[in-house]
Amino acid sequence: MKVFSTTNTDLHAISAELEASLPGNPTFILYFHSTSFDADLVAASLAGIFPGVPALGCSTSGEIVTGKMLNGGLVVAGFEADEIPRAEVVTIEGDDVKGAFAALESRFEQVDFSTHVGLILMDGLSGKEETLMESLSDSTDLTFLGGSAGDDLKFAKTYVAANGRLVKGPGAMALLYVPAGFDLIKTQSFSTTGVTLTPTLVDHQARAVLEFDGKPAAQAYADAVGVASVADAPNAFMTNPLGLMADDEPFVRSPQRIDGDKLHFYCSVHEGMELEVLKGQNIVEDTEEALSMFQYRSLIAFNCILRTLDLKNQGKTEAFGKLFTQPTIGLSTYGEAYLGHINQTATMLALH
Amino acid sequence: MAGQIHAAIQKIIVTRGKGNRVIENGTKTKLLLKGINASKWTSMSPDDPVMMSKVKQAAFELGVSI
Repeated sequence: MKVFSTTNTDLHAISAELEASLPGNPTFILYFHSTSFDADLVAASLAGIFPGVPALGCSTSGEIVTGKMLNGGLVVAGFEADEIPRAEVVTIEGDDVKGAFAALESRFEQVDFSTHVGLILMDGLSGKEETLMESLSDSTDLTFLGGSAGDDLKFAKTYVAANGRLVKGPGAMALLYVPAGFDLIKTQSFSTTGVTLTPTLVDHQARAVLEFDGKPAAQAYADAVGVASVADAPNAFMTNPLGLMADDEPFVRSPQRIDGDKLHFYCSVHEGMELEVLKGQNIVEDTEEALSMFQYRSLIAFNCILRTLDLKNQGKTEAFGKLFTQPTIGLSTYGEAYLGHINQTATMLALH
Repeated sequence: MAGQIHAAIQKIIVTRGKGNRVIENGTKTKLLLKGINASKWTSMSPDDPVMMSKVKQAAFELGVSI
């Protein structure tokens, strides 16, 4: 992987440098950009520079590139044939993610769990991520990871592009042939507290819990995290989300807001699904430890915007960016994708 | 009767996993995200009809006949 990054929004002025920075004959282009850039123009420009090369990209709420985090930037990765000999990119038409996967799979003579990996980028404001990811996970046992496009926290419009064009549906997907193999690195920088909350009344559509263990949800959460009142509970959202535990690994469900007795989340929860109250750890140290356990040549990182905001609050974005010593491209997302729609993780694809 | 939910969950995991431990674990997580915690159900667990219905739906979605 070779990467290019800039905060100069004049695409005409940067096109020569961009082209020179990336491989001459890339097999796959992946890119992420701030809404400071014209999404349509970025997609078209990259297709103009690399005609016919499969390309996937989306808007962000912050970008990641080798050695640093950016704001208001454009990051582009070009992959060469020795790393990714083959890539295919399709859009998701309507909400038919199964159809999109079938189209992708049909373009390969053979797909293998250990050498083929998928990427998925979704409209971060569609609210369809759970449905799409559940449907995709039902369809295949291949690893798919990705994230929800951002829009610099404007919450107005996000953009996903495939093969030089903005997509009109909820997202786009790529399937990559990685003969050397890959690892999925998912870290959430939380530990468990031993305190559990079980939703007993849920508004699934609204991603809201009305009751935990038969008690009003907002009060039950406030009690569980030990704040003085419901009004103080939002102060604990960032550091004390809830986790659906898969063995020892939490799938984080992040609280979003309180509405009366209800507690709204950034992703859905089910009735009867036991959730652990989590406690925040040092994001930089935890991510460094997670990365140190793997050997890889390049990295694609989907980092939750809530983690990025926490890093900004603590003045740690520079330290976090420096963790990415190998060629890296990534973004701050409105949610990460792995088996389902998840929050407050760094979900990363490490290519061997 | 007891244990039917456990048996159905195990069939989903084994069928989908095709002997691959990583895929089996992934299937367990997929079930968890659908609200079915495989580790909570044993061969002694009562056959709760609401949960059984949920497991049948999950099996259908995952393409497993139970």
